[in-house]
Amino acid sequence: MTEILKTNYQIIGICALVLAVLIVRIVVYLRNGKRERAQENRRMGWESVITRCGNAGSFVLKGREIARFSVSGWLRAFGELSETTQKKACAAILRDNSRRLTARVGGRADNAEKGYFAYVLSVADLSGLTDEQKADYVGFVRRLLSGSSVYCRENALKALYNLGDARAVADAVETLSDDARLHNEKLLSDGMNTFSGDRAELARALMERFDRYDDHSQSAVITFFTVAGFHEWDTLFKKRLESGDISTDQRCDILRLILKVPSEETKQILIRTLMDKGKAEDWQTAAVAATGLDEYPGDDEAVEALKYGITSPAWNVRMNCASSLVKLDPPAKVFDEILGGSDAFAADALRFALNSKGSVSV
Amino acid sequence: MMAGLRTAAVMFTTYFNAFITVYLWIYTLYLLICCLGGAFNANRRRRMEALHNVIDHEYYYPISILVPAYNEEAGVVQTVRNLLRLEFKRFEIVVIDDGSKDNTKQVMLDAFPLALETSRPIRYQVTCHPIHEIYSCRMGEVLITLISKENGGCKADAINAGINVAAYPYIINMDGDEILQKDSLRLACRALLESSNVVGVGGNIKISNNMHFRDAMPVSGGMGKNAVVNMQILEYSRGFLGTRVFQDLMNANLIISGGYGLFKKDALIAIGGYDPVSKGEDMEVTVKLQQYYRKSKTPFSMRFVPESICWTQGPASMKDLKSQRLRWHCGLIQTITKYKSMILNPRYGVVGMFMLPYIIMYELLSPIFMVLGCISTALSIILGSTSIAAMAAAFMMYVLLGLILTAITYIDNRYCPQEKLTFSEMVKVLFYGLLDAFFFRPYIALVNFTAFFKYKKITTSKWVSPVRVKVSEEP
Repeated sequence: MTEILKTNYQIIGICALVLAVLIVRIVVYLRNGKRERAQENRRMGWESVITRCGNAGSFVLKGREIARFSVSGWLRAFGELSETTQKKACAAILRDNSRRLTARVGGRADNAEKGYFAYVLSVADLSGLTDEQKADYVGFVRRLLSGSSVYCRENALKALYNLGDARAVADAVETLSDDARLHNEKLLSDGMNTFSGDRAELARALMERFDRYDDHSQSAVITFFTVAGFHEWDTLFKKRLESGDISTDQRCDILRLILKVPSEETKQILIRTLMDKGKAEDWQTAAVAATGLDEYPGDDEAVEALKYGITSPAWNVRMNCASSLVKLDPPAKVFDEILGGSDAFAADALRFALNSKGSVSV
Repeated sequence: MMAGLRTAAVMFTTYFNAFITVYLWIYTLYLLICCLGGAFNANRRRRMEALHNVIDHEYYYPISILVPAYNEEAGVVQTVRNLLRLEFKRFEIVVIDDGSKDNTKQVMLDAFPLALETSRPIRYQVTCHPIHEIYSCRMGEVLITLISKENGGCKADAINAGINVAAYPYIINMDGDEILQKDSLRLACRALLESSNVVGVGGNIKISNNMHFRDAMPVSGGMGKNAVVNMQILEYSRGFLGTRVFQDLMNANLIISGGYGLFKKDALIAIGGYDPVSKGEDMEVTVKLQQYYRKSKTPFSMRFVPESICWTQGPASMKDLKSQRLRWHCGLIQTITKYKSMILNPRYGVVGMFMLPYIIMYELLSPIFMVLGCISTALSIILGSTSIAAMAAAFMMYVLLGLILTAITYIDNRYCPQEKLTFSEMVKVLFYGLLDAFFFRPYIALVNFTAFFKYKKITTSKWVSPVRVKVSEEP
């Protein structure tokens, strides 16, 4: 037996190591229940702090209470209370301790904890902050934008939207562009829509820096304008469409923005795009343009452009033209012409659109 | 003559035993790293979740869920009903009846108000057998489409048909007997929100045979009475939480399971869709994506999201299990043969230099090594070059190590984490872990060994559906 053990000492070593890991995992697992109880105690700890502060009429925390913010469990307990039963009191703590809290969390906590603190800031009621207090938090969350994980960045951005500082948001988008950190476009544009301050002011701040943003962030800003209904800069964007150095994605975003406000000028842009790109390899803009032409009922030019577009080799262009054509409800002979024409794909697209009453845009 | 044979046998056993020792050492170390890495990663993810370091956004990517069904009359309606419970904003369900011989199409028509579509144009972007009829209806916001097509002989052809009909830019392929957990799509989509380079997301597959569900969420169950199923539960835990998490860290996923995979539709179209000849269409398509993106040097990633869970029925009998594993191993042989140019090719990075050689050595050829190992061990004992006690001790240590790794992954991947881990459950895990080492794994190795001889027959056969039973659903 001793010999066997000697020859297999490496295997025994590994077995012992893995056995140790297993034991640790079981202990950790069994401790989960205990951990829950500890978390409950921390929540009660914060409750008593809040009661004491409420009685004293001041939410300025003691040094050791501030120190709790750099301990994961205590931070989480505070976050849980700020979302549930103690919204106002937690907001008051955040308000009256802004400098000390940002210094503590910024200095001691790890990135995930900093991200969580940003999350707490994103859900708290921060309407009563002074400019100075707001500046403390803006400085803290802006530092999280560089060199952190995508989760941390998203929480930081959410905190900025909640803080309601338009310039800070516009600067943050610039930071992301400068660092070439591709943050999901939809997350950015939807986030901007949750901005708690003046969204018109945010739109102005974004436009001031628009040329400094990368293509991706510019697209997010344009999408934000589309959803929020800001059309103040449509003329500028229409001019931008003429420029050759913007991406197809951004062209599509601009078209989606301008087609919301029907006008003769917009119609001409949509028709030109459909005619130029309907049968081109980069057909994507034509597909978007086709969806906007359904806003011009009785317009022969629009119908003619859609008749051209429905014969496009690109499926999406064809389907969108068919859908818009049905919505425009032109004279029956227009449909007869396509259905009886030589392009079987166009006829198929129109037949499907007619059966679906035009709701087939892709 | 006899002396010559004896010398040859001694040489064989000496060299082969040395080889197999190194071979097993590498395997053990790899598994150890994978399991510890997987456990560490699972802990990190739990902490990040608790600290809200996750992307939780109301915006979800529109997804077409493809349900290829061949003789799935027992479970397809329940599968669709469970899909309708998904917590997800925008998705459609496309059931592809691949010329079933049973009443798959009829049970769908009876269960849902599906109406025949006469004018829907089909965009054939990937090849598939002809589509005969398309039915559709809306259940709330969700469009359900039933495709009735000519039997293509394999799941790949059915998925291709689904890709051609799917309206949305992302697709999920799954089986006709599965339950996608209510929150699975939301969790899988996090990967898409985290990076725009993601072209595929694999989820965690768990065995549903012993489970009870309410509202597409598991409420109770786990290890049951059927040993075949129990050993698959342990096997899936090891496979998904061990190796796949590790492969994910290197962006070297070579299998996004055919049971549950989310893909960017354009990416699938760019590679020509699924290969209808392949018996392991899930691995084939994943390797093809790896090849396509690595060859063109296009940034991409294929992710594994263990929190996104799909429940599948594992074969409950040895006969079904054997047939499934034979198919899988033939699919593996087929894929490796097809993509042999990637092996040890630095152009394909970690996949070519590490993952494919690993799969060849430790999955493709392992049954051969196992059989040769048994022969070599027997010879060594007969020739007296090693003692039975030493062999038994080495084997027992190997079993013990496997048992411990199995227990680690099982604890990390418990089927009902809301239920307390009981002593009897742990005893069951250890018991079936032992049974797994002494019986299940050697049996599977033997089945895989026979795959080399049955390769031609299996790769030319049509797809078969194992016997399905209805999954227990609480009201």
